[in-house]
Formats: sequence, structure tokens, C-alpha cells
Amino acid sequence: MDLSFSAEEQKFRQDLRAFFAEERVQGVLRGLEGCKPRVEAHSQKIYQWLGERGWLAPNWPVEYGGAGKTAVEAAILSEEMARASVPDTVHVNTIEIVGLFLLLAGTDEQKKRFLPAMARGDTVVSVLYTEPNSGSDLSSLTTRAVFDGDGYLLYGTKIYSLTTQFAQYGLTATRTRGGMSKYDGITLFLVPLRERGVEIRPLWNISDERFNEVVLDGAWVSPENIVGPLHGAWELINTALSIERTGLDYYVKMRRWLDAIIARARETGRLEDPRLGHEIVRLDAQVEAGRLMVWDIITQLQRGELDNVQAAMSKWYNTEVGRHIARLGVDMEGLAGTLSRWDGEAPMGGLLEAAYRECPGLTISAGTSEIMLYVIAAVGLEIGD
Amino acid sequence: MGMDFRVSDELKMLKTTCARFFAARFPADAGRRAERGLGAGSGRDAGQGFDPALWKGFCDLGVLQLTLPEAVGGAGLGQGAAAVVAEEIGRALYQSPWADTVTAADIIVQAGPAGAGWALLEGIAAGACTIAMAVRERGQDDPAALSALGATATAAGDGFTISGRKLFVPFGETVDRFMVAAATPHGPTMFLVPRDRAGIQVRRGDDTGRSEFCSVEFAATPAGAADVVGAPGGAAGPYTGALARARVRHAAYLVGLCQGALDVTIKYTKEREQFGRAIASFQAISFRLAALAARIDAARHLAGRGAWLGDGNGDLRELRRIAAEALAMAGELARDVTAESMQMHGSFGFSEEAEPQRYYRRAAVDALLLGTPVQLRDEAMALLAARAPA
Repeated sequence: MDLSFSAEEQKFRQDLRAFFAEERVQGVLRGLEGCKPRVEAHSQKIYQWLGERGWLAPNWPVEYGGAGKTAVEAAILSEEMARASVPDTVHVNTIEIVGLFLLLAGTDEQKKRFLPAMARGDTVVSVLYTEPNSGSDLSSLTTRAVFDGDGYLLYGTKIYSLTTQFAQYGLTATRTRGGMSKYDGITLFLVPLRERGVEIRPLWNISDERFNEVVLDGAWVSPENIVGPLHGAWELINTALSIERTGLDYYVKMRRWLDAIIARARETGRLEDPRLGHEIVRLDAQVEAGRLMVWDIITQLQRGELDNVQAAMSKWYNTEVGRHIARLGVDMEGLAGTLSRWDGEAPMGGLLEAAYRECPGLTISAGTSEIMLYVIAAVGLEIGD
Repeated sequence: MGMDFRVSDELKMLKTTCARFFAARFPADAGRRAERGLGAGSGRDAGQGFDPALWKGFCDLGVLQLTLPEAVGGAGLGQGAAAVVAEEIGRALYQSPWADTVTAADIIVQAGPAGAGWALLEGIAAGACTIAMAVRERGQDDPAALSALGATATAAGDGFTISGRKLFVPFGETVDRFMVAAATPHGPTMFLVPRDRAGIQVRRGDDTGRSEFCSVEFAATPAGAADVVGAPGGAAGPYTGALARARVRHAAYLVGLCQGALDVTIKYTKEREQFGRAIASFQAISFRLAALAARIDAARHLAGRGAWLGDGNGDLRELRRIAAEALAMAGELARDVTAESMQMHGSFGFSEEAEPQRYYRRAAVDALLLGTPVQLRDEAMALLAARAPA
């Protein structure tokens, strides 16, 4: 076992830290802190600056706008973005999820058409899977795509997607035919969202990231925008879901939240008060263990392997700890812990108050905790039905 | 090169070797693990307590050489190898002088060639010399604190006489030597004395784990200058690092204990039928087992990091903090897993012949052995506070 980073990997981390410390980046981040309610903190500008160097998608090939680096370096980017408080949800959806689909299953033409613009930070893509009656049981989706001779007309409603308000495209799961089973007949489209037949509305939730409702009412999509096999995307969706399930994006959030708590406890002289310190240590152990689970999976991906059960464990573990961190962050300040960043007097800039509102979503998104436990039990322990 | 979580083929083989050894020696119904006659000082029934033949067989696998330097007959494989063995010991619940002997050898190596015990290292590596740590004096003692020792060593001629009573000394009736911590005018000092030295009285106790714990009374026990490990007053240095590494190995042992308890529970719930189906098919069971499996995986990763740090990667403070965090996590997990195992086995799990109760009883003792979770968190908290801000 070797848990050390190579000199090259350490240098990339230092380079990123230097970049995020630049005044132009810090200036944008200060501006985001003042975001009004219902205005989501996101900076395409910082992404574009990263993109100029190939760092927004560092592990993509250079020809597609990446830097030809490794999965380890891509994960280092995620860690450093979180550490610098750069909002990452657009990055996760566009680069880590949709980019991965295109790399796995896109045609050469699609890769050339989409990937460089995504890696530059010019194109944003969101993920449109969930429907009002189709959540964990995604194969029950009912959004239809009907062939009209040239292309496809899409009808249906997708809900609870994040970052769609920023996006030019939505990776959309549809049903293109009634198949032998509900897993057959599913097709993925990259749907242009700023076209006729697409309506995007906010569904306000308690977190700082809005949900979107996307109503597709005869939106036309070219067959050239089909990602993966026609009628046969189910397997691809599952492959991509498990690859994105490293737990990385969750762990970096946990570390950021807990580090804010540690800094606050230190600043207020309470880090060695066992009433607070013991709980911090308990959570520090869990976040550190979660980090190791994540890195284990990232190094597997690096070698072209992936243990689905370990990935499910990592996603479950790294999100279940969230509620405990958020609760501690609020409790340690008493009622002041419930002050939001718009109050102006919130401790930790309201980060942990926002965490309390965000964390219920973490054990739901990208596969609920119950689905993770099902995978662990059924595949890993070979029990359950 | 670069980050790699896989254990080497060499360590995989070591793991398999240990697992096969225990599987062959401990058929599921043998009832030897965590087992002996009840009652303080009770006579040993045939096949119970310390089994010298079994111990010899185990030593012949090379398990005592792993962490020792090659210069003294060791294999120089480091803490990663020791953690692999510890995990297999935990899975099998094998109780032996292995853990304390490895810790004592670590202290001897840290203290250097001038101290007591150096000449014994080759024998230790071969399994010919077992040592029990005699540090603790009260149940609630923090094993990390040498400052509050009640046992004293007073100057007598060229050497010392040791007086005091040590508790929870494992295999006190059978080990070859004790490593005794005692206060001297120079400060806390570690002595290595043979078990049959004058003025030593050993009495076996009785506890939840049916351990081989003994109280050891030192009544003006003579100890020469040659019995001092390191320098008089110099116990803390070698002991601090050795304890951190012992905690990492013990965390790995507890991870193995958890895995063993989980495995028997999975097996049982797949076989046991109620309401016309295997009880494992109910999510009330399967989801809880899945959650425990994930927590065991987390604890294994953290112990693994401790082992990596224990091999000289990173500084001592980081090792001590991760060791304390990993052991606190594993100790609490062991009690959670074994309590769940008892619940899922129903009344059968309580029976003397059932496996779950062995794991459940051992967890009670082993979760506290090298510090209670509260003591461990106290230490980790202080180390976290002393660390530079992130």
C-alpha cells in the first residue's frame, strides 16, 4: 500500500492553490458571497480561467480541451475547488457526469462537437433523469421521444435537476420504444435547452441550489445528439452512475464543512473542550476514513477497474456523515447557528447553516442511501431479494 | 509508483496463510476462542486457555518477525504486514501473547542496542520469548499516560527494586517476561524482568472476555541495571511511538473481529428461515448488515492509513492522532457490530456454543484494551488542536 502523491501530483495541487489565490479569482469569490436569496452562487468565469489551461477537465485528452492528466489529478482539482470555496455543481454535472458519458459512449463527432467547449467552460450541461413518477426506479421513466422522419420530438417532464438554469444542453433520458422489459427502449439525448418546446422553471427548495422543472413539449432533437445506443442506454446509465459514485464530490464537501467547524472551534478557544472536541474528533475520523475510501476508488478507476460495491459504500458513508457535521455546526453556536448568510451575523459566514439545509439532498442525489444499501447487500453480501 | 491501496502479493499470501492456519485449527464448533473455565483462577480444562502447541504453530508462520529489522532476525515488512496478521487474528478471535510481544519488541528496538532485551530480539522473532506489558494499574488508567504510575523502582545497590501491582496483564501465567513500567527518581522507566524473578506474584482474573488477564504483584522485585529498557527515566520516548503502532494493530484486530462477526451473521441470516423465507431477505436485516459492512470498510481504511504512517510516512503526531481516531472508531464499531450480530441471531446467539456471543464478549474487552474511546478522543483532540490550521 502506498498512500503518497507523486511529485507531479503535488505540484499540480500547488499550482491550483496558487491559481485560486490569484486576486481575480478571490475577487469573483468575494462577489459570490454577497449573492442574494434565490440567486445561485456560480462563476463560469473561474471555470473559463481553469479551462484556458486545460485544468477544468484535467484528465481529458488534450485534443478535447483537457490537460492529458490522470484521474488522480482530476480528483485533486475537486479537492482544491472545495478548499477554495469555488462552487462545483456545474463542474460535477458538465465535466464529471456528462463528459464521462461522452468519453465512454460518444461518437468521435460528438466528442469533437461538445467536449472542447465543455472543457473551456463555455458549454454547461445538466442531467435530466428524474420525473414526477420516476425517481430511484429510473427505468419507469415515461418521457417519450418520437421519430418524425428527421429527428425526435420529446414529450415529458423532468424535475429536480440542478444547474439547468445555467445549461445549454440537458442529458435527457427518454423512452424511444415500448420494449420487452422496462429496461429496454431507453435512449439518451443531449437536448438543446434554449429551443422551442423546452420550458425551464425553478422549483424552489430549501437549499441554496435551485431545482429545475423542464417541460419538454415537442422539443426537436437531431439523431446526431443521441448518446450511446438507441433504445439501449440503460446499461450505459448504470455504468456511468457507478463510475461517478466515487463519493469524491461528497467527501470534499464534508471536509470543507468540518474544517470550518474546526477553525471556528479553534478561533473561539473550544477545540479542546471535550463537549465539542470529542464530537469533532469522531467526525474527523469519519471524514478521513471517507477520504481514503474515495481515493481507493479513484486509484481503481485509474487502473481501469471499479468495485461497484465499494463505490456504493463510499457514496453511502460520505453522505451519511453529512447530517452529523451539519448538526454539530449548528449546535455549537446555539441559536446563532441558525442564522443564514443573509442575516449578516451568521457564524462561519452561514456555511454550516447552509449545510444543514443542503445535507438532506446528499443522501438522495445520485442514488439514495437506500439504493446504496441495496447494492451493498445484494451484490456485496449476496443477501436480500 | 504513486497512490495504491492494494496490498502486495506478499501480504495477500500472508493473509491467506494466517486465515488457513486459523480455519484448520478452529473448526467452527471447537469453542477454544475467547474461552476457558469460568471463575477467577479457575483450573484450565483440557483444550482451554493458553495452548503452547497452537502458539508454536502460529509463530512458525513468521508472525513475530514481521515488524522487526532484518539485522535482528526480523523480516522488516513493517506495520502493513502486522496489520494484516492482526486483522486475521481478530477474525479468528485467537487470543495469544502476540500483540504484547510485538509491542514490547518495538519498544526494545526503539530503546536501542544498549538497553535490556536487545539480545532477546532474535528469540522473540522466532517465537521463543513471549512478553506481557505490565503498565496498567487501574481499570480506568489511560495507557498513554506514564506520568501517574503508582509502581516504583527504588535504587538498590547497582540496580533497583520494583514494587507495585499491575492489572490486566495478558497471559501473565505463561509469558516468559514482563515489561514493567515503574516510576523512578529519573522519571518513568521500563524494565524487562523474567516471570520467575523473586517477589512476583501472579493471579489470574475473570472478565467478560474470558481473557487470560492477570494481576501481577511486584513486592521488592530486584531488577539490575541490565534490566532497564533504554535509559532510566527514558520510558516515554520509545513507548509513545510503540503505543501508537500498537493501537493501529489493535484497530486492525478489531476490524477483523467486526468482519468475523459480520460474516457469521450473514451466513446465519441466509440460512435461518422465518415467515417462509430467509431472514436475510428482509430489508430490516439486509440494510443493517450493509451499513455495518460499509462502516467496517471505513474503519479498515483508517487503520490502513495508521499502518502506513506507522512505517515512518508522516510525523509522529499525525500517527498518534490517526491511531487514536482509528482505534476509537474500531472500538465503537466492534460493539455495534457484535450487538447487532447478537440481535440477528436471536436467543441462539446467547448460547455457549454459538459464535456471536464470543465476538460480543471479546468486543467488551478489546474495545477498551488500549484506551477507552473517550480517552482516545481526548488524545486525538489535543493533537488536532496542536496541529497547524488547515
